[in-house]
Amino acid sequence: MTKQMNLRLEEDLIKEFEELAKEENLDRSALVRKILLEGLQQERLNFALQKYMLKEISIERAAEIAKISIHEIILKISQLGISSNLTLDDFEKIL
Amino acid sequence: MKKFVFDACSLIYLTKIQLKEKLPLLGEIIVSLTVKNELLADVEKFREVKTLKKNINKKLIKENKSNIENIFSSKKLGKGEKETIEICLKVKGIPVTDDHKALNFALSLGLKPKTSEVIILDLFKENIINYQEFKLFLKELAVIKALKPEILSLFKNKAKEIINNIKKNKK
Repeated sequence: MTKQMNLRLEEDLIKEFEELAKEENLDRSALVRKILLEGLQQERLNFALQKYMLKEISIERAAEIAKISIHEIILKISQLGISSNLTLDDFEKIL
Repeated sequence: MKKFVFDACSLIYLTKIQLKEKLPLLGEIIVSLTVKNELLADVEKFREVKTLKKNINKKLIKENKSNIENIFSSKKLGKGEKETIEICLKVKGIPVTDDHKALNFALSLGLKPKTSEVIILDLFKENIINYQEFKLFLKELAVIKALKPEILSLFKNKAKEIINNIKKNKK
């Protein structure tokens, strides 16, 4: 089910959407939907990784927020070179 | 027999470095239903999922049978991590997690959590792997987890302490 959402955009931005839609052979709405979806997924991931790096949430919670599997988030963390959020202090507590 | 209750990330890391086969030599490996489902997700995309599936089928990784009441409501931890800690409280298990938040939450409840690095050290301590293997597994884990040099040094020093203690005991 779809719902209508009204959005005010700059004229230049609308023009850019129209240009790209023409290039990609898509109608303007389809292109905007596609970009919104991709942007939303990326934003979820960025937000989750930021919270993880700040030690505000766990790795599994980050996967839940990003709506990806734990395998996927481990891969993303590794690809981005993000260090494990465990600290020297954590290890000293358990060793 | 010790009961190790793993969360998904620790078991994935240890599977990635191909150490998972040695884990049952330390004790029983238990996972919650949520963790089991997390481990088995994305089977087409990740090679280690097939290995994990095989080990679950062979019952080398056992699914928890005790009742989960979802006693924790924290929004900072994932469902699998919360279940892992709840199981540990019920079965007097040892939580294994590679996450700062989950580890500190487990500590606050009086549990004695371990991480993948500590499991590798335990395998060495118990003579299940030798020093060369210890160094190799730790090195591989360090790459995957982008471990900080000071953490790597801490574990190398701990392994050296174990070697020195063995030498002292022989004398």
